[in-house]
Amino acid sequence: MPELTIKDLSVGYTADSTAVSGVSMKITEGSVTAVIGPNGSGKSTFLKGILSFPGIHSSGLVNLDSVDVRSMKRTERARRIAYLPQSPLVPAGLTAIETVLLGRFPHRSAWSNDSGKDVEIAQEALEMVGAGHLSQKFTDEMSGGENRLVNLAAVLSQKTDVILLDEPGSSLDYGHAAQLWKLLSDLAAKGIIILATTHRIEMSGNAFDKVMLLSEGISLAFGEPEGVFSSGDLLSTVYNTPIEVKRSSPHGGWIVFPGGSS
Amino acid sequence: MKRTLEVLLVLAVLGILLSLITGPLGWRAPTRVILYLRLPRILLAITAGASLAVSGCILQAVLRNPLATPYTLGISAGAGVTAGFIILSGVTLPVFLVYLSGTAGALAASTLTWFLAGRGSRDHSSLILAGVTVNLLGASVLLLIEYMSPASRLVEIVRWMMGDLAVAGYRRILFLVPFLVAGMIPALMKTGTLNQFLTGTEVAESRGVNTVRERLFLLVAAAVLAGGAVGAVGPVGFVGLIVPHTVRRLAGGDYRRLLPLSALGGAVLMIWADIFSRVIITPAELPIGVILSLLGGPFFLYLLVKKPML
Repeated sequence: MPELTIKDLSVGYTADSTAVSGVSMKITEGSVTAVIGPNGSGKSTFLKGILSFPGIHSSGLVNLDSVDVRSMKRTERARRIAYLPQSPLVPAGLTAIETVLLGRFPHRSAWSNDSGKDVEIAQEALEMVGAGHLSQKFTDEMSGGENRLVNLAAVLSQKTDVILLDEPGSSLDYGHAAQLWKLLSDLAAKGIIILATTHRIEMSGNAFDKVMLLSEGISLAFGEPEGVFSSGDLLSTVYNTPIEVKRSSPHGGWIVFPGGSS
Repeated sequence: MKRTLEVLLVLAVLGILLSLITGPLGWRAPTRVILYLRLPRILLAITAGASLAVSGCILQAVLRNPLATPYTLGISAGAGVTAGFIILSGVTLPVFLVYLSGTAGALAASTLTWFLAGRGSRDHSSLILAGVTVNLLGASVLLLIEYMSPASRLVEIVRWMMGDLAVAGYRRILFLVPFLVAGMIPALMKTGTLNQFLTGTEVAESRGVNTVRERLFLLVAAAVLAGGAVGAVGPVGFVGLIVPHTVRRLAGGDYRRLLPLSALGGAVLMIWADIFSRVIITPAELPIGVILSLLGGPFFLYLLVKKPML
């Protein structure tokens, strides 16, 4: 089982600014963590800080299995951590399967062709997200939601221990969103650590095991969903509106009541 | 892809055969004319066309801009300024040094673009803005040189800027070959990386690409290819724009196919543009840059209507 430790992670876009301050978390088993918070709370920046992209200034500790992620070679890191941004660019002139095969890049040399195994993994990833039928369709002829599924499949084809997803459910309809969160839950059961930012808790059913609430770049709560959501006052303060989050039934999915349930 | 390759090969073979018999006396020309004038001209068209097309192809991915061409980095302006200075000074340089000065100017301008972009994060937008700046500066200096030049030299400068494939012997081709090899081999080895640049900097990074290092490496390869070509044939435009976009529409956007096919496509375009430049006002010749500009204008319009793919 992989173990992800984040300690005092601060992230900014310049050397003297911080969009995320002192975030810590430890995840020791496969799980789905929902990173929630209002617009501009630092959710996307937090994910970027974990991978310390160029142009991002981050400090603090990010360890995967006790190895500093930033000291890993890029290829080694790419074999262990995958990332899907909120609005990924869609290369034109590629079919869905070719786009998914781009996710196999860390597993082969820069100029080699895709092996039969790569194609098999890519097709399997497309099937997993419910987009197997799009395999030969060109991405520039697909809808936003279909492209989202293809990009998710590319992330899955990377075959990593940790997956960072920025708003994975955006542009997906109810059916595909439900399928996505179920898939993430299944992957977590196989030992994969998933961190997914989301604004739509109610779309994720019962999929996430942990929640981190960010506000103005600071982690206000991290833990079991019941614990985080039980404090209606905290959520109301953070979102600047009365808000309640409840289960639909004792083991059912989450329902959000903006403005309160009463 | 196979169909595109076949079409390009047929066009290349037809173009080469036609080019060999185009000119005074046609196919009855003496063997010496064919071997020392026409064949080197074809080889120069092939090497320069392939270089410019591949250079454009690389830049469109690395700068993530469908309108990027070898001249986006300021290459044309750099080459124009050095050539303008040499012509204005009236210094007679050995032929090799004349070519080399154009290349040196092109590479110096690309280097200046890289350093100016360093004020930002050297991402694609900073590089494009820096390239536009260098191009404008170069164009201003060239205008000044032209203003200060006597009429005879002014004609020489303007003529050089229009491009020239007329050669006698193989010296110019031998000059270009090292640049072609030095730029093309690294580019072909990095086609997978170029594909990753299409997905954006962050996704490319997350898949193991050192985007800062690879961007520099690929920009150098593009500048070397275009710089060599500009030194050998002058700053002819549009090859790096027309060819990659056409090939992309025919064979898809995967750089493992796109790059080698663009090299072939660039060679084909230059061979055929050269044939037209020799027959339109025969027995005189039009500069090849004029033919390519005549094609380039409508091609921009085509891109405007069809939306460029990238």
